[in-house]
Amino acid sequence: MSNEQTKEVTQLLNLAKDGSEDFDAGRLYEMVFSQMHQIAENLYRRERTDHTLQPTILVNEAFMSLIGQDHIDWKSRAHFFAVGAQAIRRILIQHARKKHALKRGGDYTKVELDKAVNLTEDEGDQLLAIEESLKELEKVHERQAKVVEMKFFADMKMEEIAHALGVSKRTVEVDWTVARAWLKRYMAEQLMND
Amino acid sequence: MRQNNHEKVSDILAQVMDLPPHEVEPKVRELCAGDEALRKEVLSLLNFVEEPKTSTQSAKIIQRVGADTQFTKNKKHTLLEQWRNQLLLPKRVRLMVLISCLLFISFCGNLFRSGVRKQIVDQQRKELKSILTAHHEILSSWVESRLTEIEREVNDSTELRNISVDILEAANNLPFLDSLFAVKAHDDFSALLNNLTERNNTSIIALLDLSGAIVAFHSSNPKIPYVPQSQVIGTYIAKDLMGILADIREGKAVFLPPYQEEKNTIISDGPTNTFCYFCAPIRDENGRVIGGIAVAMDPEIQFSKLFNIALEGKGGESYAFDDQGQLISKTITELDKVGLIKSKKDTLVKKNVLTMRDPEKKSDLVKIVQAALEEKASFGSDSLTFGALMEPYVNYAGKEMVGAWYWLPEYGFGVATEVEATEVFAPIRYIRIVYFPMFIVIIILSILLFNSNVNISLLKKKVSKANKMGHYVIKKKIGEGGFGEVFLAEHAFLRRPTAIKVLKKELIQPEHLQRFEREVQLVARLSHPNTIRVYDYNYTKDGRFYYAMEYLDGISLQELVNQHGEQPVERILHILYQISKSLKEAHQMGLVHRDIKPQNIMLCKIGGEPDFVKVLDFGLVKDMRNTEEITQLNQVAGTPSYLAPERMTNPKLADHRVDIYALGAIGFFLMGKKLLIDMLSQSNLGGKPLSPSMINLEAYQLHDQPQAFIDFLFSCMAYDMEDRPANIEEVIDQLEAFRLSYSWTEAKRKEWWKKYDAYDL
Repeated sequence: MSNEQTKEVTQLLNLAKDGSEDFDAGRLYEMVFSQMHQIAENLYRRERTDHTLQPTILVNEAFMSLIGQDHIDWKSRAHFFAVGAQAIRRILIQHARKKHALKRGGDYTKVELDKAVNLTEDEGDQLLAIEESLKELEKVHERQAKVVEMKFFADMKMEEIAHALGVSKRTVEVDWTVARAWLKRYMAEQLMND
Repeated sequence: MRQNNHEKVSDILAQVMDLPPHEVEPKVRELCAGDEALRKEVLSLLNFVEEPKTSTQSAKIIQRVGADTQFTKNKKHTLLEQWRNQLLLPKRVRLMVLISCLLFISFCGNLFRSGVRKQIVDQQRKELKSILTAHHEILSSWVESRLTEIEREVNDSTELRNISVDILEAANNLPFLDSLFAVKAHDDFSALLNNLTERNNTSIIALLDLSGAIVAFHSSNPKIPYVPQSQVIGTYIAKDLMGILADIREGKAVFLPPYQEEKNTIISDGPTNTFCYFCAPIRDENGRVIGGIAVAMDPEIQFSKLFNIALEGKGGESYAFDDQGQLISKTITELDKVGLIKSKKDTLVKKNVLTMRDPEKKSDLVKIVQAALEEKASFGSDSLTFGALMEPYVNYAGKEMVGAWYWLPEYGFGVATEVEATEVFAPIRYIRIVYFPMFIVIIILSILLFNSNVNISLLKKKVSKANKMGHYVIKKKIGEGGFGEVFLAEHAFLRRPTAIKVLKKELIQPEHLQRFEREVQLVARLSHPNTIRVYDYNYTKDGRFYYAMEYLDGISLQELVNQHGEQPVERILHILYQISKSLKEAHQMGLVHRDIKPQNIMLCKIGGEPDFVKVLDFGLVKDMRNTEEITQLNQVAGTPSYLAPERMTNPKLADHRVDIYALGAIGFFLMGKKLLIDMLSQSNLGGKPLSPSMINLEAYQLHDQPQAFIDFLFSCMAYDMEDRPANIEEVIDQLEAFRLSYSWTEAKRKEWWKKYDAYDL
């Protein structure tokens, strides 16, 4: 990554930390997304056979390439990962859509919701199912959907999510538990309706 | 329907998810208060909640905490680990294991060493024996050939025989042998023998009759002073030697080794008796033995040289010794040449003999000779005996040797050959040279292992100890910054959660330490509930300063505004009031905060009270910064918005009104007017202060805020210190007055707190 980009991202994160009005959330997202997209493309190309993609690796790689190992305060890191989670979500869904356009309807069999590790071809179906339900949850409870996004796609720690959302850790914990129950029930209902 | 309810449902779930299963139903019923649809929704969702939160969620958290702080988990032990735990964990067992290992290693080392030594000794003994055998053979064949030669010379020469027979017959007929020298035949004898001695390198020749009397004598050795024949002729050979006459009568030739004192002296009053003799019988024309001839030979000429088969590179030496322990293969002159004779008094110079004594204990013979003579005595003098001394001993020259010997009964002397012990045992020395340091290294490693294992076992037994700082058990890192690190810790006994701030070493120069300690002591005296409590301070093992303080779970004003935007005036007043209260106590003690900013003010729930303000970071560290750093800060991190302008010119200024300035800025910050603060501080720091009248309130959307409050905040942020409220008490008075009209009620507090802690009860 170029120095320019590193500098810009670090600056953006600093602005975000200070709550500065100069902070351009859209710009940060744009940079993180394009960086991750590139990394993901490389990963998909390299691992053509099983299309394994570890989101955590993705966001970490993006973090390393955009910011590097410079000591960055964990709060800034939380900001970065919060944005990264959004980017990962978009990338994974785009990819899954491409591959599974034919199999619309999704497959709601057993879904492991802990985090989106090792999403292989098969799990692409699940991913689409999760995405669909997550969109529903967003309508019902935006913060809970946000928590799921950060936890599921970027494997962020509870404290990090709490910080990124400006809520207590307990709030995030409850949100995560309730949201998971809600998503599971939603997917189960979808399966029965099919 | 479901959508509208979801927040309510979440609230109820939050309250019941930690309850034991049988309490859940009734509680849900109670919370739903007759709303059947809500109750159904809650219960349906409950079915999908994975196990009680504690076992999934917090188990995960515990694990994560564990990963961070090396908490041990109950994992299965492999066989190796079991052994390790049994053998290495208990200190005493570990010591025993290590000692037995060391003993075993040294035992193996010794076994190896003695094995090698035995090998060397065996090899050396064989080598010595073969040398001795060679000596023996060389000696025998030399003696044999000399004897044959002389016998032939004597008996093949008719002239010599005739003369000898003449002399012997004349001697037989003479009543007194003394007068024999007058016999004319002696001249002829001498003339003949001159040739003989020259040919055979011999020195003296004596003619003996069968009774042992010397009947003719010839000396040709220039080393020997002239002895008149009259003195020798007619004398008898030594009594001890009479035995050789028997051999001669039987027609046998005999060899006599040199240096045998009296008994070997054929010519007793003659010159120094350092010869070896070859005696051969003389026969008449009928073949009858009528006398004998004794030919003396200087041992230096041939005899000594027989023992010069040196052992290559081993400083070896061979020699012959007689039954008195005298060195017979080397003359004093030879020993003298190589510097072995220190004083002529050491030896019997007259006899030209060295008795081989131990150089340290003069009375004892050298060990190898002693051993040989003892062996010889016990086996009887007729048998060939062999022996070896492979334990190093001191030889006659004072060197450490190992050696072996043969006793040759046919010649009546022994042959010994020896080599320097250091040469022989050099391989063992090399082993020692290599092995000894290795052993030392092993011992050192063992000691290290012993000690480090103590640490490991302590770590295993009491994980907490490894993560301890004084009385505090470190749980995890919760923050990091330019100043150092912050950890969540727990007091070891009180279990009170504590935040520990460990400062970077470079922040505190040694010369500042005392002042720093004083400052912490002062801060620790602050007791206002709105001030964070400082419990304790100390140094880490690597010399970093740390202090322990109250652990707070809450949200900083910075995060509050970042996430939840501008705050209502009532809340701002509530917050500013509490900050002022905290500052009041400090200012009364003469302590100025100097770094009031949104990141340093936390909103917490304390004792069930939400929106409880805590002011952090009193006094400490900050004044270590100098102007230069602040200026740098200015360039890097934007405007130091909360920094009073006078501190730019005098960074160490400790006037309490810098805190009042920052307090005013906090007020605007909570209104979401970051831009306004930046603008104010820019112009203030630039030395071009703005008066409130110059600011377009509408442009900053301040017109809908209470004017008096806005004015008050502006006055706090006045460029000139004198224009600000004179002291914090004045600020408190003002804020109290505002609070009368803008009260932050209990209900509002709770409601707003829910934005941060959504499931707060």
